[in-house]
Formats: sequence, structure tokens, C-alpha cells
Amino acid sequence: MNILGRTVQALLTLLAVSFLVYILIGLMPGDPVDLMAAGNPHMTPADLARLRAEYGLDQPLLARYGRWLIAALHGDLGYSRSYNLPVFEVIGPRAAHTVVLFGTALLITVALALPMGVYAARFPGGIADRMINFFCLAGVSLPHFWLGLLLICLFAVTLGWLPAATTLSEGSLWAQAKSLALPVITLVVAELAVYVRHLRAAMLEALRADHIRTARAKGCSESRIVWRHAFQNALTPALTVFMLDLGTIIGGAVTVETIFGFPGMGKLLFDAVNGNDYNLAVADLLILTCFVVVANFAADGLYVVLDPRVSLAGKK
Amino acid sequence: MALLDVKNLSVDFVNGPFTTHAVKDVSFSIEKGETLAVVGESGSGKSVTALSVLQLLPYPAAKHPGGSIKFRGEELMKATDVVLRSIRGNKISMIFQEPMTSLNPLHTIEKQISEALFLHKHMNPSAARQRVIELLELVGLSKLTSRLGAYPHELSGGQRQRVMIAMALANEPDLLIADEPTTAVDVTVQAQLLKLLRDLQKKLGMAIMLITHDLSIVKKMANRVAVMYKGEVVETGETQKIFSHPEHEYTKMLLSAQPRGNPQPYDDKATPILKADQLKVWFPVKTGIFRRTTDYVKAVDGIDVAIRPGQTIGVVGESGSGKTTLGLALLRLLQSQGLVSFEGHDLGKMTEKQIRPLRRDMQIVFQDPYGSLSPRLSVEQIVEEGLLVHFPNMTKAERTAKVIAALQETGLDAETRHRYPHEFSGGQRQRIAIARAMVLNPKFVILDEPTSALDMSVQAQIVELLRRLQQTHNLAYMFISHDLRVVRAMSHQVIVMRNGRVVETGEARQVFENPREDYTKTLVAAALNMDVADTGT
Repeated sequence: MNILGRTVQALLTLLAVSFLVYILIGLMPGDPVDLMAAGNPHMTPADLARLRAEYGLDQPLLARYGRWLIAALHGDLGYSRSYNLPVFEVIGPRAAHTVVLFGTALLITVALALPMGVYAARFPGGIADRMINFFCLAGVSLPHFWLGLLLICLFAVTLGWLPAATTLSEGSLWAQAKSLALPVITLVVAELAVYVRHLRAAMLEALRADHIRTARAKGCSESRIVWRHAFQNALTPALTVFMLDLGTIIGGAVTVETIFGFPGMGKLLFDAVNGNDYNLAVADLLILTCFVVVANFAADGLYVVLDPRVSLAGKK
Repeated sequence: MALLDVKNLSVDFVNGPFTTHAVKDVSFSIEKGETLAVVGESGSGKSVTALSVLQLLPYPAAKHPGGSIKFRGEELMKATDVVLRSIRGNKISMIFQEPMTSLNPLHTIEKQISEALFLHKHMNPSAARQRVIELLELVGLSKLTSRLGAYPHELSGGQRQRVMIAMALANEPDLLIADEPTTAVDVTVQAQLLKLLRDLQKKLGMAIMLITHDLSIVKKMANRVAVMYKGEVVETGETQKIFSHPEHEYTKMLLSAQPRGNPQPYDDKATPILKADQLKVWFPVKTGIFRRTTDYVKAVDGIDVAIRPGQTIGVVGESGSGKTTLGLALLRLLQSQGLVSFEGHDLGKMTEKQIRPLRRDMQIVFQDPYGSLSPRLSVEQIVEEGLLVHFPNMTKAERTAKVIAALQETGLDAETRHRYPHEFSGGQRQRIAIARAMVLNPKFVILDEPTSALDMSVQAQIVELLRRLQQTHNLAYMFISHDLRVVRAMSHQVIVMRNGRVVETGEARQVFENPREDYTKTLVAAALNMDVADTGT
């Protein structure tokens, strides 16, 4: 498929996600007016009906989605009821925070996963491989929220080395970095396992290839075989898995950010859904989806760079 | 002093508590400039022996309980990694069987050839480039000297094998170990590559250790032969002597194992059971956003066939010539244009559901006996499946009786029906695949390269079996193969295909003995001339 085709596909994905999210949130029991009524006992049923009509909440869900979609296509994602601000202004700074958090976590994860995965594959069954395996198993088995809480207990409460809550945009750069440490560690531990396991498998596969034997017969040293010949070939399949895995990171964003009170898009999504803030929740999730779609897009581009057999025309 | 002196070499593979003795006490030597062929069937240990020389086995799973490998007097068996690396690709180099996978798919051909130069000669990039161009010209790839940035996937199998050879010769080695260098390429390419290797040997004066299962190649290439059987060298000697006076039983068997004989006569007045007129299979090439059809790949382009009961039509051609597509289209396993009629039914006008009852009369046997049998089904389940589809009212006992009869007819024991495909050898699996087709008592069977994945001696047995079944059941066969020797032993008529079209067709004897078209002549010369020489000596 060509670039245009991919773009159309990406836009369709976004459209489908927006529909699903809007409808799902709309199907949840209760609406914003119920929340207002709960906060103000003097409201009469007539007031409620008037408010519903004013917000358009008396109309069928599909009609509401249609109106929202038309506005969204004009660049207007609406107004956040709970923050009393246009959703863009609410999301903007938080998106930047999330990018910092996940960018850091991703960089560290990849930086650790590459040597660990390659080393484990080079001596499969060896002591290092078994230790890495054990660590990986432990990592995937620990849920985000549990690991996060344990880290808070140890480093913030008992040892007092790191702050439990995250404060970005305040304090010195060092203080900000320190406040990032715990959520980053939580994310890295969980994701590292996945990355290492996949890279190890891809490397084992690459090292079994016939052309590795050719390289050895040429007189290449082991390290040259591993890095020049096998690693490059392992990168493409590993990349596919990494990119698919980005989606699960969004799930991680909600839990990790909520635990650490991190002012990012995950926490915002959590609050928006709890507060029945339709516009904010939909916009937030759409932008998170955008991240994943763009990342996959970039991965497709990377394939072309990494593997001469792949072209943007989609032939292999 | 011999160039390479291997004494009492043994190789064990250790897998948990199991030890396989792959090579047992093998000794041979190679003199400067000579060619030693190591022949044997699959599993005889010939490749393992070849890989041992450069210590390329998967150590520590592979072990050498004993022996010595001396190259110019220097022991390689206990040599350090540094010593071995200075010899690999420099003094001794290797080429392998699979040209498709033996080159790194992510490196350009220049990078792959020059790597050997950087590693051993520490050449600077411009000198290396000069040498790469020289090497490409040497192996007959002058066309590629302007395309040094090409990647392996842009080259044909023959070209890739030439790149492999260029890579191996980069440092002018004293010994070239060639492990089945031509097995995976078409016959005409095979003939070219062998000629290239011979010419290069003359020019560079290197010795060659040639690993092969193909005796016709041995005869063409080798000064001396070592015959391997079950991990041991059973006979060594001058090529001429081995061929004329084989001493060991196994060597005699190997030499007589070529598929021979002729097909049984058939009634050429009978009504054809299957007819095709102007059969075409065109695959559309779609481009652009709207996936418009801009061109066609004409896999089969206007072919006429008529097959009578008891007759075999052989279809020969190189890979990509459309042989298999033709077979699939005749069975309506692929959409096609043109008339196909089976026993008077026009298959083109029938729906898949209407064709289904006819399917019990037309069966197919595939090339790969490893991939075409489901590993999760027992032999009985595999063989009886057709009966379940076509005879739903049959009782279990009746089915079992049919399955047993089919297995016995193909030379398998009745008890094998409880076992699973992985427990069988390649030849036995192919018998299971044939039993699966025969259990339905078909009238027409397409045999798509049924012998290509098998050892020569097993090929001969399968050819015997197929001929016997044909005679007993008056079967019509379409025998698709790139191997002209097997086709000659099987077919009454031959169709020679190239690029989806018929190049030549006629009586098998006439096509093989007096080919009219140039293409057929090349094909026949490349594939059979060794046989002609055989009968001459």
C-alpha cells in the first residue's frame, strides 16, 4: 500500500475510535446533568429537562455523535465541562508531560533491552540468559499498579529518597527529574520484559539463518556476526512487536499516571470519565490513539530504511 | 604432504541424554588442485564432514570424540578461534546449497563480497571495489559491475550462487568446499555453474571438495570420489574406477538407483478422460490507489492437453515456467479461462459444489512430503479423510479396510495407520500421500514433483510404485517435474513449458532423443548428457 493508502487507513482508524469512544461513554449510566442534580438538591425535573435540551443530551446518541463529528472536523473538539476550558487548552500541557514520561521510559527501555536481548540470545540457556529470563517473567507478572505502589512504599515512604507524586513544571530541573523517576521505573520494568523477550526470540531466529553460516565461513568474528549480520536482521521483526506494544502502553498510562498523580493524559482520561466529561474524554483518547497511529506510521517508514526488500509500495 | 588431510574424524551431536553419531571415523585427503567428490544420500554425514573442516558445526552441541584435520600440516581441530578465522574465507572457503538464504538479505552484494577482503586483506575501500568488480567479471556477472548496490533479492538464484562463488574466491583460496552448490537451481543454470567452477579451478589452481548427492555431477567434476553411507566412508577411489568397478554394495546400489525403464503401453484410441483447450491462467497485476489491473502475469498462456486412461503426460520446465499452475488449473483449484472437460463434464460451467463429486476421480500428490501431510493427524485420519467426504455412509470398519488396502498397495504396513507423519522418512511419507490419493480409486492423478525432495534410490522406488499403480488401475497421470530423468522413466508424452507456453510437445522418446526446439535441446543436454555418457562407458 502506498503512503496515501496508509494515510486514509490511519484516518479511518481515528474515525472508528472516535465513534466507539463516544458511543461507549454515552452508554454509561448517568450524564453530566445527573451530576449537577446531585450537587444541587433544589433542581426540579423541569430544570433538568431544560438543561438536557440545552446541552443536546435529550437527543439520540447517534445524532449527538454526528453533531460532535461535524464540529470536530472543523477543528472544534468542544468545551470541557469540568475544567471550564476548551479541551485543547486542557490537554495541551498534559500531552507534553505524557510525551516526556513515555519518551523517557521508552528510551531507557530500548537502551536496556537491546544489549539484554542480544546477550541472552547469544548464549541461550546460559546463566545470564536464565537470569534475564527470570527478571522478564517477574516483570511481566507484576501489574503496573502493584509495582508502582511497592516502589512508592520503598523509595518515597521508607527511604524517603524520591517523591511519591510527580511535579513537572515546578521546582528545579533536578527535582523534576527526581519526581519522574518512580513512574519511569514502573513503566520500564513492565515493558522491558516484553521487549527483551521479543528481541531475544528475533535474535535467535536471525542467528539460525543460513547467511550467518556464510558469514562465519568468511572468517567473521563472533561479535561482527552478532552485530553486523544477525542484529540488523532481528531488528525488523522486533520493531513490529514494539510498535504493536505501544497500544498497551496507553493502558499503562492511565494506571501509572493515576497512581503517581502524574499530570498527564492518562490521569486526565481517568478524571474525565469519572466526571462524565464527554468532550474531554473523547478528545483525550483520540489524541492517545493518534500517538499510536503515528508511531506505527513511523515504524512502516523505518522498515523501508532497515530492509531493502520492503518498499513503500508495500511489496516484499 | 596433502593439502587437506582428514584422519579418523568423528562427529557426535548431543541432544540432552541422546547422542547421535553423525560421522564415524572418516578419513580422506585432498591434494593441491584436485577435486574430491563426497557423495551420499541425505543423512549420510557428508555435509557435517564438510562443515567440520572449517569447524563450523554448532559447537558445543556438536562434538569431535576423535580425529584430526590437518590443512598444510596445521591441525584445525584444536585450533584457536583466531587461527580458524584467519583460514576461513581466506585459505579455505565455502559455498552452500541455498542461494536464496545464504546471502545476508540486508547487505548489498558489494558489501558482502568486499567483507572477505576487508577481513583478511585489510584492503582500502577503493582497492576493494576494484577487486569486487574483477571478481564479478570472473564469475560471469559483468552485468552487475554497474549495480554493486544491488541486494540479493534483486538477483536470480543462479546469480546469487555466482555472488557466493565470487565471495568464496575473493582471497584466492587453496581449497574450496562446495556443499551441494547446484542442487537448488534449475538444470540449465546448474550446467553453467559447474562449467564456471571447472574453469575457475583451472585458472586459479585451487582444490575443490564437492559435496553432492548427484552422481552425474560427480562424473563431470571429480578426480576422486569418497562414498559416504550412514556416517562412514565406505569406498574411496578414482572417479573412473568407482563408476566402472564399484566394490562396496552401497556404491553399487547408488549407481543402479537411477530411475530407469519405460512406462507401460496404453490404449491410444480411448476417449480422453481429461481435455483442456486454450487453457489460460492470468494473474492480474494491480497498481495505484484504486488497484486497477494494469497488466497480467501470464502463468499459463493457451495450453491444450488431452489425457487418456493409462497414459502419462510429463510436464517439464524450469522453475516459474507455469507447470504447477497448469496442474492446479486442470483440477479447477485455480480460476482459469478456456475449456477444461473431465469425463465429458465442462468444469468451467460448473460450480464448486457441482464439481465436488467429481473430485474423488481427480487427485493430486504434492512435492513436499514434509509440508503436505498434517502433523496433527494420524496416517489413518489423513488417508480416510477423502472417504469421509465422498462416502459419508461408509461404516468405520469399511473405511479402515479401505485405508489398510491403500496403505498395503503403496507398500506400507497396515499398522502404520496408527502413527503420525513425523515418524516416517521422506519416501514413506510420499507413499502415505500417494495412498491418500489412491484410496478413492481416482481415474486421474496429478503428480506435482512427487520425487524431487527424495533421495535417488527412493525416487526409483516411487517411480516403480507409480508405474505399478497406473497399470493396475488404468490411471491417467500428469507428471510434473523439473527432473528429466524421472519424467523419461514415467511419461508417454511430454510437454515442455517455458514462461507459461508450450515450447515443444510430442512422444516422450522423440522429445528426449531428437528435440526440435533450441530450448528443449539446452534442457535435455543439461539434464541428460551425463546419462548418455554413462551408457557410452
